[in-house]
Amino acid sequence: MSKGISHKRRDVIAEEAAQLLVELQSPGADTRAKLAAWLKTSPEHVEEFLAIAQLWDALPAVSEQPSIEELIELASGDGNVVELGPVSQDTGGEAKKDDAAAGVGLRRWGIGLAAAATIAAVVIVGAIQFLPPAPDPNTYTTAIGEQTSLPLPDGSLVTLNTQSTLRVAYSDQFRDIHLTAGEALFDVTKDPDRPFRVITERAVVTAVGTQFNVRNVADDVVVTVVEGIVDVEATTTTSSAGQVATAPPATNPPPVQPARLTVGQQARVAAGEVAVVDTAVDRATAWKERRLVFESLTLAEVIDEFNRYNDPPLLIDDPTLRELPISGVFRANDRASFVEFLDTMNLAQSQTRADGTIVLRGLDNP
Amino acid sequence: MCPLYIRSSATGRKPQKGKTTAPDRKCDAGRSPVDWPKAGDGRRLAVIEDQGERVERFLRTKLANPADAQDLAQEAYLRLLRVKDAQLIEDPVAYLFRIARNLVGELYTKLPPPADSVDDLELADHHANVEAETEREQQMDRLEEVLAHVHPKCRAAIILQRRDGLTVDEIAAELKLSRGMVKKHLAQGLARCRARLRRYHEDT
Repeated sequence: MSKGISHKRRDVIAEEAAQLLVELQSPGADTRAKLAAWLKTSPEHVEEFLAIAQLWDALPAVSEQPSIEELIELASGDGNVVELGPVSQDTGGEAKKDDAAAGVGLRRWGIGLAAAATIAAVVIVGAIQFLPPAPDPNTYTTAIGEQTSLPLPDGSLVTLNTQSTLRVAYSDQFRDIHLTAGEALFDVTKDPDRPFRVITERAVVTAVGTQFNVRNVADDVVVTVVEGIVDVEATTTTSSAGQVATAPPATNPPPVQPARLTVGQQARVAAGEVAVVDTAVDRATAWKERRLVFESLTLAEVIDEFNRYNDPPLLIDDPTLRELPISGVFRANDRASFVEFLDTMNLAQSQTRADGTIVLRGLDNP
Repeated sequence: MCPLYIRSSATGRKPQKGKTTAPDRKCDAGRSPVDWPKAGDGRRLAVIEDQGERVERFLRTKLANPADAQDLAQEAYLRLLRVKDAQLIEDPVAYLFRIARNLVGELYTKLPPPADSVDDLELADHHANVEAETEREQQMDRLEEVLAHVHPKCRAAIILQRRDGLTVDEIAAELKLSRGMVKKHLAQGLARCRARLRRYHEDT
């Protein structure tokens, strides 16, 4: 029924929904804004939040058993054997039935301990079975058109845009994120002792507590500061991508002085150089609402952008069209209206191939 | 060539082909949308209060049925995207549930009326009530079953807060945990309950 999206992804969304709901009970200044933005991520986010809220609302009516005392006893009886991990690492399919049967009936102290031990064992086994053998549990990838937000262990939040990959590598000294492809918005919790760094092949972005966007697409790395201050430095062009990814320049700082960016500034890193300009922040983060904002871009660039979100792609089969200047605001997943516009304005004509690819041609080149 | 400004696309609306989206209208038929209690203040997030109203009941049933819930979420999501940020931020939970209720209300108004005469209507209502009550009991049984599976600390935090009305501080003292950990356990427990319920629904 839940088409396409995996259990694991769903579980992560459910976890975020639950955190937000708990946070709402004593909301901070930005709690509601955070929830509003979060809800707009995808229909699955809306669904999970509705479900968790319903669950929350049904809870006051649960039965009088176990009593308050019994609950407290059960809770304190087990020490801290079971780590709080993501739901996805929770006990998988079958095993849980046994501990369920055990868990419900057992209410006395001694037996409580036994039950706790059972649960601990089950969790460990479950976790082993459940973890995907796939590459690295700290790596997150989004598919074409997918966006997701990831809460990080330190309370920071990453929103990952379409077709992006990042790896979380936290250590005692640094909170390192390797953005190997794509784009992400980082909302960083303050921790002066442990700088937050986003590492790409071409640049390292360092922040203490702030919000900023990093786009690592094609040959450019573009960093936009939404809040606070970040440092951007180009990585030395001599080191290859692989080396940078495994050994960030923290231990081996590059000689170049980092550029310091404040709110509303944008840095573009290309060929080892950092160029800083002022920019409209909401434009750089519009993708979060699945809006694409173009100002005097060429049709070729606009189409590249659409293709980051949509598959099968749009193609231009006419060199004269590539330079056509486009400005406007579009929905990322609504390229149909864009194509229709080009058609209606007699700027280009479109043809859909059997495989779904849409080909654009000039009017003179049928 | 001068740049093209294509503002009309900004709303994401296009000439509809095939797929139609229900127009944004309030539920009619004399049912004025009831305001959801403000969420986020106090311990109770009374989003779905048992008001015995048909729309409420309907919404609950929808949320309990995975396929319906998915459709509802899909449409609610589309409407959320159209809401101005400032408006949504003011009270996202209330807003989301108002949208959901409106959707359910719209669907409800499209259903054939249960009967003509008052007697039949009452009878139909009675049947619906019995059905809803059975459904609710089943949901509660399942909820208690999944609660029994979650980590005892999570379970204690959830039940102590929701059933017994303890504050986070009180729970922290009872369980000898920090406030932060209590919240973590609450969230974790809720998420796990939800995950298990979803798997349960998908299996059946």
